[in-house]
Amino acid sequence: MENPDEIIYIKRILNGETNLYSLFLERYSRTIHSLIVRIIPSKEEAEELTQDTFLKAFRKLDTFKGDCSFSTWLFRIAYNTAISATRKKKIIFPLIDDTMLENASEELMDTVFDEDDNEHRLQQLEEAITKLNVEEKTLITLYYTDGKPVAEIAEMLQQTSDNIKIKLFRIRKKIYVLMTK
Amino acid sequence: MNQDKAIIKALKSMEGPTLSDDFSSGMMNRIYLVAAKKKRRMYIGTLCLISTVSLGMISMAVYLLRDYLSDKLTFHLPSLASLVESVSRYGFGFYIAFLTFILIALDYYFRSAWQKHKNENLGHSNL
Repeated sequence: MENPDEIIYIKRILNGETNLYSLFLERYSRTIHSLIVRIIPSKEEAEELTQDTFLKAFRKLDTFKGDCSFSTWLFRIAYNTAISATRKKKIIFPLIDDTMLENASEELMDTVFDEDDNEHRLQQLEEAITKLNVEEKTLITLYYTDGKPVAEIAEMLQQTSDNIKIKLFRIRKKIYVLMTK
Repeated sequence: MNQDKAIIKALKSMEGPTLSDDFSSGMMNRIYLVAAKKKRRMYIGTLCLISTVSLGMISMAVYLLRDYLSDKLTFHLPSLASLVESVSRYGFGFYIAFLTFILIALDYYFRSAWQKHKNENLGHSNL
């Protein structure tokens, strides 16, 4: 995932070639926005937070050490920015009893999704996804929509890969429970 | 896995609002403003630092010329008295100015070297 070109661009931006920053905007603005919009569904707010993310990244560009890829670093800023916005809004997410999650077996989950063309199931699934908390929405967006590997997601969210795998597994169970509730 | 496929499908159908067309151009205008502000702040900071250091050096020179060299040095270091007296006050002033110049030059050199080193590290760590 690391891109040597990006390091060169960063050096040049730091040396005064500000216009090169537009390359990063072109490359990442859509993916950053699609992540933020999952967390903050309002169009205006999501766009504003995307702007904040790029401004923060520009201001702190000299602190980018290159110990991870630029996209990982940028996604981390986007995630933290979106999280701060949700904290201000105090959004309440439904809590699921742990025993309900334990009872959901993989076989059961798969049988529910056998008819994946079913419109009703799809609608239920969409509703269940909207009920997930911020971290869970971020995880499934990064994993399923952006196709990021578990290791990169772990680096972004500053957690271990095993932890991310467990969380993804629990999210799948939670979606199932929310759908069948 | 069926559930994975279904989640991907649901997420795709849930695609929210997209970015406005002028997002990049608007964003770049803000970035240019931030860059200009950053540059101006750095310039003012450097100017303040240089002024403070210069003022400090000048104050020290004035203090030394007026209060210290005039009588105390001859009292504390009687053996050097004749030598110090022979050096004019203007000469001492030039000496201090020269020292200031050397210090500013060294500061510039080390700053450049540090910046170069930092940029190289940034490049090597990811290449």
